Amino acid sequence: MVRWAMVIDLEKCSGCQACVVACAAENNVPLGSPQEAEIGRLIRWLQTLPRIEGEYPHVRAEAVPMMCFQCERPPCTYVCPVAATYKNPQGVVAQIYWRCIGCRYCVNACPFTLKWFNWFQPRWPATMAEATNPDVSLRDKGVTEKCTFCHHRLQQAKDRARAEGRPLRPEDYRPACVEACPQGALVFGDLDDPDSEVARRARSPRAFRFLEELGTQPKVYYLAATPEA
Amino acid sequence: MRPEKLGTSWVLGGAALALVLGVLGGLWTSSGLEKSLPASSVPATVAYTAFSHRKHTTLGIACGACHFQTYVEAWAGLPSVELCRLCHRSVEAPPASWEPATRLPGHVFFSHRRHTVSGGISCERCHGEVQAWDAPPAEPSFPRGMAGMNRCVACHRIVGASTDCLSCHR
Repeated sequence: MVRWAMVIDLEKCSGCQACVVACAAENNVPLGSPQEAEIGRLIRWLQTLPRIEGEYPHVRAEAVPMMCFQCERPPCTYVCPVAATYKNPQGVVAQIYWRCIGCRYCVNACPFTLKWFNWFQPRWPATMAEATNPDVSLRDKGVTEKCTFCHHRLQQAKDRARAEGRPLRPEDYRPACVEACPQGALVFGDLDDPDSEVARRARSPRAFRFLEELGTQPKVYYLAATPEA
Repeated sequence: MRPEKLGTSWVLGGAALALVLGVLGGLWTSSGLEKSLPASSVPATVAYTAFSHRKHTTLGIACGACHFQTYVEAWAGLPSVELCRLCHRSVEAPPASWEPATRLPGHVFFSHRRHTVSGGISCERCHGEVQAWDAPPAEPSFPRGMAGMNRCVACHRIVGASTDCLSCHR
C-alpha cells in the first residue's frame, strides 16, 4: 500500500518561501488582506514558521515550512461530526468542502494549527480570478480547508501514466511545493516503499517530527539543520 | 460555486475547437463519409435546438466526432455551430438563453478523459440510449444528486476504481 509522505531538509531550506507561493497558486488559496493577517485569519496551507536562535551577533534564523502533517492518527478526523475530514487509504487527510458544516472542531483539534477556516468570503483580484486552478475547488466562507498533498496532481499523474501505458513513477506525482523548491529541500514519495528517497531520509538520524510525543504520527518529517540541533 | 469556470472553459473550448475543426474536416472528407451521403440527404438549413441524435448516429457518425472534447478534456462541452456547418450550409444558432440539460454540479470533479481514455468505457454506459433521441433532452442525460452518485459508486466498486471521497469531491 502506498503511504504518501514528505521530508523537509532544514539544512537545504533557505526560507525563500517559493513553496508558500506555489502552494497558494496551485490550490486557489486567496491572497487575503493585511487586515485579515493582522487578526491571524490569513489562510496559507503552507506557511513558514520563523525560528531565531542565539543572540546577536551569533544569530541563526530559520524559516520552517509547515503544511498539514497528514498524521497517521489525525486528531482532526476524530472530532468531525459529519465525516467531512478523514484519512484516505493512502494516508492523506482529506477535507470534503461540500460536506463541511464549518463547526471548526477540527481546526481546534489540530495540535499544529494547520487547518484553515474561511472566516471571510475569499476574493481575488480580477486578473487572478480568471486564472484559478480548475482542478481545485474554490472554497466558500464558512468552510474549513487544508493541504491534501495536491491530490489532484496524483490523479493527473495517473491519467498521464495510463495514457502512456506505463506504471506510475515516483517523479510523476509531486506536490506544487516540492516542485517549486529551488534547493530540493522538500522530498516527496511513498513511505511504505523502503527504497524510496522519502523512506530513506525519514530513517536518517537527523530526522524528527513535530510534537511526536502526542502520538499523532505525522507523515511530514524534518531533517535537523545540524546533527542534534 | 464558480460561475467563471464555465466562462473560461468556453474560451478554452473555442481555442481548442479552432484547432480541431481543421483536423476533423480533413477526417470527414478523407473517411469518404461525405461521398457516401447523397448531398440532397443533408438538409441545408437546420436548427441547433432541433438536433436529433438518432438521425446522426444512424449515419454512422460516432459520438466523438462532435463531442471530441470528451477524449481530451475533463469537460464534455457542446459541439459548436461551426462544427454543424461542416455539413449543413446554414445553421440556426441557439438563443443565448439556451442551456444544455446536463450540467456537472459544482461539487463534483469529473473527468471525461479519465473515463473515456484511461477507463475505456463507452458513452452509453453513463448516458444511456442517446442514439434514440430525436431532440435535445429536457432532462439531464446523467441524473444529478445521490441518484447520480449511486450509479458512479456502483460502477466504481465493480471495476475496482477508487471510491475515496477525495477522488471526486475536493
